[in-house]
Amino acid sequence: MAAVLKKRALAEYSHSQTVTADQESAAGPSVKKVRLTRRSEQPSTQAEGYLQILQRAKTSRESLQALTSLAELSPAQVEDVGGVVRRLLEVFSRDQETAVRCAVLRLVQQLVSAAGERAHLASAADELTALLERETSSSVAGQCLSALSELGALSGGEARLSARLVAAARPRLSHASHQVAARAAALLGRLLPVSPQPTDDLTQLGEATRAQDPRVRCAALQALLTLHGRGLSLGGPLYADAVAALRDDYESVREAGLQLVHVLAQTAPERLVPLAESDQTVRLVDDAFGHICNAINDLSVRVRVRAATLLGSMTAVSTKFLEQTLDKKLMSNMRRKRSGHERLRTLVVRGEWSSGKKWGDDAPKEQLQADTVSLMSSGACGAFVHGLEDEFLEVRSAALESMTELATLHPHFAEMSLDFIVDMFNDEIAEVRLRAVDSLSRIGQMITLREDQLDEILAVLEVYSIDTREGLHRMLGDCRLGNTDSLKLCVEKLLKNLKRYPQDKRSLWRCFQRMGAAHPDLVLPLVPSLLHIHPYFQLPEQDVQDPAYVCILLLVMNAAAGSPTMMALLDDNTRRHFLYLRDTLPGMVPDRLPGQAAAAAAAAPSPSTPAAARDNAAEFLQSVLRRAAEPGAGRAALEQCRRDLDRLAQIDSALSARAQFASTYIHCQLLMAQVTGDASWRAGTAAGPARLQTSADTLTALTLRLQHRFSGLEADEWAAVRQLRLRLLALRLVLQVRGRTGSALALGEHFLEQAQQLERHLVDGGQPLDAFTEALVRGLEALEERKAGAMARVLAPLLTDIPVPPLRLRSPLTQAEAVIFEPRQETEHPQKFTAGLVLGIPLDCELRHVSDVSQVRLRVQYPDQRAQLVLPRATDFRPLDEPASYRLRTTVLVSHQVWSEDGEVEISVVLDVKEPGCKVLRQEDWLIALCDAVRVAVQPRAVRRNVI
Amino acid sequence: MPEIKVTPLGAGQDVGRSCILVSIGGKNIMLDCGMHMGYNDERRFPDFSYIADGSLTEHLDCVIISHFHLDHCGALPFMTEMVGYSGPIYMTYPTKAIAPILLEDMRKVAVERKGESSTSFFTSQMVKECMKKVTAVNLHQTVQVDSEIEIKAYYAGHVLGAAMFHVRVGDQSVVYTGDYNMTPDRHLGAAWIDKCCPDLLITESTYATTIRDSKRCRERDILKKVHECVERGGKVLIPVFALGRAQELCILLESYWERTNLKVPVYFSLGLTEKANNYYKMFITWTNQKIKKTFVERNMFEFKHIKPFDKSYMENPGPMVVFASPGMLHAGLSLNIFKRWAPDEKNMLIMPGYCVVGTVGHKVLNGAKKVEFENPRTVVDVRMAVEYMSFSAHADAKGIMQLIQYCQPKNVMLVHGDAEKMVFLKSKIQQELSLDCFNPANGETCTIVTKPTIAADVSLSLLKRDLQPVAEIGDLRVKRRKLMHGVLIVKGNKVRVLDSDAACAELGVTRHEIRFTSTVTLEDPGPVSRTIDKLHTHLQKRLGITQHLGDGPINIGSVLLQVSGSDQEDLKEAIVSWTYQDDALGSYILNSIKNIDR
Repeated sequence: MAAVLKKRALAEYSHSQTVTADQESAAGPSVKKVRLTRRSEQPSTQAEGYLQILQRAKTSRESLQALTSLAELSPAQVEDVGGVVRRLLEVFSRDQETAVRCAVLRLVQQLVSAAGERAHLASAADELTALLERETSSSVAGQCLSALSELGALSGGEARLSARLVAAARPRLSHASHQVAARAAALLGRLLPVSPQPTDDLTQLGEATRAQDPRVRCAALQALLTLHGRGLSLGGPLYADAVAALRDDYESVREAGLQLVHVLAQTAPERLVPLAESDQTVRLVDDAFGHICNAINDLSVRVRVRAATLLGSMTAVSTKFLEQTLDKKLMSNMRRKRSGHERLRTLVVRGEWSSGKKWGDDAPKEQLQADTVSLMSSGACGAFVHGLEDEFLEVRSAALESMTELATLHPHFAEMSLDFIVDMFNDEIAEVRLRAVDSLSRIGQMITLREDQLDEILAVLEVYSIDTREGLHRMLGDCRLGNTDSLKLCVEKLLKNLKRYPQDKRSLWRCFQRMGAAHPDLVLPLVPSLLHIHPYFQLPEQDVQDPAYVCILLLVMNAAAGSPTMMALLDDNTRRHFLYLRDTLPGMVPDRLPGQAAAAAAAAPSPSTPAAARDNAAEFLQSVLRRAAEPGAGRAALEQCRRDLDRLAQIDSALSARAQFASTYIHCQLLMAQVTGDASWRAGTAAGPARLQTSADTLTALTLRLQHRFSGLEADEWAAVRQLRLRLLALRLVLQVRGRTGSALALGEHFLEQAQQLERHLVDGGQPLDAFTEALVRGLEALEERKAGAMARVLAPLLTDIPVPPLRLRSPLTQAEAVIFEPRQETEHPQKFTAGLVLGIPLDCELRHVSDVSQVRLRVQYPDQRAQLVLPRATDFRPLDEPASYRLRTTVLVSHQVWSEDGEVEISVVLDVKEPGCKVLRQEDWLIALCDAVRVAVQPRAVRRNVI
Repeated sequence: MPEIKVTPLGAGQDVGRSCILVSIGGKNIMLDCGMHMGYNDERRFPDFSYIADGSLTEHLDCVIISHFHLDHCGALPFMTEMVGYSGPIYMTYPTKAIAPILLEDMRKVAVERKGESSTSFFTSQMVKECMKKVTAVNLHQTVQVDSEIEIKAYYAGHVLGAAMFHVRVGDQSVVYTGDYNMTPDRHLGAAWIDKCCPDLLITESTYATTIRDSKRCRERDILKKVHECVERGGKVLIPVFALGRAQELCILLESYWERTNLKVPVYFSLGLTEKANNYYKMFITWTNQKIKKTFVERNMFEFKHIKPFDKSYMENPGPMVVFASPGMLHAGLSLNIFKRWAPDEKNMLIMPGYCVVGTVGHKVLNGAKKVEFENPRTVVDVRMAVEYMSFSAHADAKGIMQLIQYCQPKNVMLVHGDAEKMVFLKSKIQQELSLDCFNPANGETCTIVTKPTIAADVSLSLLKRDLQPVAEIGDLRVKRRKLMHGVLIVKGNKVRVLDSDAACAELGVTRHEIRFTSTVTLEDPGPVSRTIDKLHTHLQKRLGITQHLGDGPINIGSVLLQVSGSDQEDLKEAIVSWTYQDDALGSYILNSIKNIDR
């Protein structure tokens, strides 16, 4: 129906114009212009058309349709907003139908807010206020109020307008209809002036929180919240209203009430409020905390989630109340019973472990008096215990989150909550379990683990989920251990973990490193047993490749840094292993051990300080660059520079990115010179030998790498890279035209587009063009017809005559790179799978300095040289601590048909930098490898026929 | 006064044989129809002769079964087929599916093992016939039993398909909880009821004097023990009853195996479990959030690590975990396995539930190191570790209180629990919630008086007259309590409120008018008409609406004002007369005339 109307409107009102436009387009030279005018003509008539239909509408159905169509027009299509609004309001005053009038009001509001002009706003608000006075239908009045509140909010709190609107809304707050009253409350919330003194309006809103309609109550509470959000200080008397709202029958009211209680408690935490049924007073925040804790047992999930979430931000609550949240008095048959947590604690305190006979261990103890037991959970009692046991994971994770939040501020509470967090490792939902691990690592630094707790926590190391285990490793690295036994237990369990899950190696190493650094005194007595040092016998040297031994070494080395006496215990082998580790695992071991300075000095010949060494290296880099930039630097000199830079990149990790960047750039320089210096190029007619094309391909890859793999470039360095790339495109264009192997049309267009873009960009940025670009722009401007052939003729001499400018590099660069940990290079033991089906290979790698994760692909190359790109899921990327660094853990799906022997599949991480719409390069050429490919042997086996 | 009468035929101050008779609004309803597992004589079934001798159909309006445990539904075939009842029976869909399996199993055990005479016990045909009479209901579905009785089921969480029932007859309503659990577990959610404010809440009170530790603590404990045992190569035996807790434990172990990637085999002895497990897989909507969320990918009841048990596996070397029935180690497979494994101290026995005195389970739990068996006469040394783990799915005292708070009843009744435990909970309910609480014994009738609500018809005009003016102003007080003038007429069983005029007309009574008349002496020289004018203008100013025609009296509503006396006299008599209804106006005018000169 709407479509028919639209058609009719179009036919009636834009027909004549369309015809003229068509005629114009036939006559006029510029097609674009005509199209533009036509576009702006048509819609205004469209709006006009709908309006007229609306005015002539007989039935409310027609009116509604016209209104809907009007509402669908974009704001730009309605020109004279004032006029349209006036006409709409005429319709409003004429029509009797509530739905139509509501729709008109909605439309008016939409139009005026889209237009966003003050004048319209004020006049529309005036008219609507007048309408509101006369209005008898409550739904229309409600709509009117909501439109007014929108308009008022749009006016940006203009005082006069707001005052008028507030005056209109105020008496309607106590209206019999919920639609009117609720919207009046909302309006007041948004538009009441923010004054420091509590006004009557607040009292009125407080009154409205007791209205008979739940929707009004909810709206009033929300309005108060909005007012608070706008900076109004809500007075104390409202607290009683908010608390009363918590006992409401309706969940939305309870939810809003909770928020209000929370907000009030946050603003004036220290105010004293009288305690119910006694003459004592408590701090407001404590009282509110109790009320919110109560809501953890609410009937509605939404309220429970809200309550659990809010608890976390109530940091001002006193410890007494906070600790109650974990308290649940247990009893069995009227006798006091201790919880499992308490039992374990006393066992440890007593200093003995279980007798081995646990039945009856939890037998109830003393008899309880019936009067002393309170069954009603009042106040904060056991709130978190209930929250963590809730049926819904939303509540559980919110409670866990809040508990952690509070624990990070209250050390004693942190220790108490530890048991509960560990219990959550056993949750049925993986998401909650992960959150528990996360919580634990957050409070790790705050707590000293008791032996029994440690026992429980270490049991979790058995779990299959690598996230859980790694979280636990992090946490163990952070927390404090009480005594040597704990440490020993920890080490044992962690080594067991390593044995069971060898892939945890790196995470465990870090854990041992931090654990050692944190507990030098506890490690000291364990050193002989850990390292198997015997006082008389010399035991065989341990294998330094063994991950478990490396764990122990890391623990001892890092502890030794803080405990000078430990050095005396170590034998020579261990000291030598230390040197080995310092080279293989830099960053995991301390730079130097106490008392080993002499030995270290002997081992490492560079005695200068690290800082000086760094300066030296940077100096060297610059000197190489200066050498490369010397005008007479020939090919041999540049080659030498490249070699120097490559070596530097290997030696110095800090300068590696810069050195590689420079080296790549010089490589480009060399290749470019090589191509343009070639005899066949100079001859200038045919394409020349294939090696030119090969060089061009290499150049393409190199320039893409310069452009996308390095980040942190200064503006002028960036310009140099882009101009180098333009130069490459020019080179390719020339080769293509000369080669006459295919159409150069696409390449020509791409080149032109790039040139224009770059020029505009450089000019806008105030960057000087280099000589080549300068000449290029001039040359292109002189051209009449920008065809590929003509352009190539202009470009060829430029390429030959103007050499690539030398590089100036100042900024500290970073280079995108990836390290694949899993799968490891493995060609001995092929993974078997049925040919044609899919094999999942787990991949674990770290990406550094990757600015755009969405470009990352996994490239799988099969033995028959087919290659596939796999797009990892966005959720598989987990951000690491460093910026722009990610851990990617995913499964690569590999499939292959029958292959006569073991095939090697190469897996690598690449960046796909394809520019959309560019057809010049092949898919393969847009890929930038971030690391070397890992080879994994697979063995697809033929399907046995008889199976099927 | 209307009342609700409740008589427990079973489960009054006792556990087992739940059967509660409720008379409400002239209707008789039976809640649950269970059997007692402890008895083998006629005491195992409720005493139906209490209701009537012979057919029960005309004395009972409906029977509601809360869940499939035999102490809640075990006597049903006996009642319908042998005593005789053909009225409606209601239960939830899962209960209807699983109950016959259990009934049949119980019948087999009773008849074939214990050698009951087949005449005194129902047959499998009777079970089938009985189930045909059952109407299945869904959660939150309101079912109209007859024109007056209305029932609605709420989730109870105790076992699959357990429900609480809200029964409403007219204005009166009762909520019967059956067994319920307020803490969610691995496969069921927590009980939930809305604020339905019934006149009476009949709740179970199994754990009236217990507040339990968090379930996570219990779960962690059992998992740790099992893991330690299998790690050192031991075998774990877990005797369970086939339905309910067994599934809970299976899911617990299954997900732990999944999480820790354990390879040790877990076995489940089949029996009636397989059939029942199919129903568990089907009734996903009755389970908890986790299972509902993940069943599309994988149904949690399709166990990956738990395989069916074969007797020959008993002798297999190496660690394993076996679930075997029955749960109290009194007979069957679990006992056989126990005999085989008990002497090895590496092994472990975990008792997940309560054991009756006299069973092997009870002896072992109490620390017996040697257990004697008859035929063949043997003595078994118990060297294996024995653990007790409470996994019962009843609400504890706190949970019961919480449910009462959710439901907001006017009275509470405790059933399905020990008498002395009830006393404690009863006192707590009275103290902390200030509600009346009852705990009748079996056969004892409790009468609960409810507040009657009487509905009366009011004519629209009368309502409008009294309410309209306020509504027009738009005031929040609209729905507040409000006084209304009218006449209450009770005719037959219809109650109406009428306008007094209409009432008079209907009853043919002429109305007596009561008028107050008072005379005020005014000192006002001059003609009478001037005095009248003076009074008129005076009143006009105050009230605005007066009617005055010539020399006649001034009319203000029903108030008449007349001046008597002659023109010559200084003193005039003003007579003010008003009806009883306009007392306020009349007195106001009188006062105002009295003080006219001030």
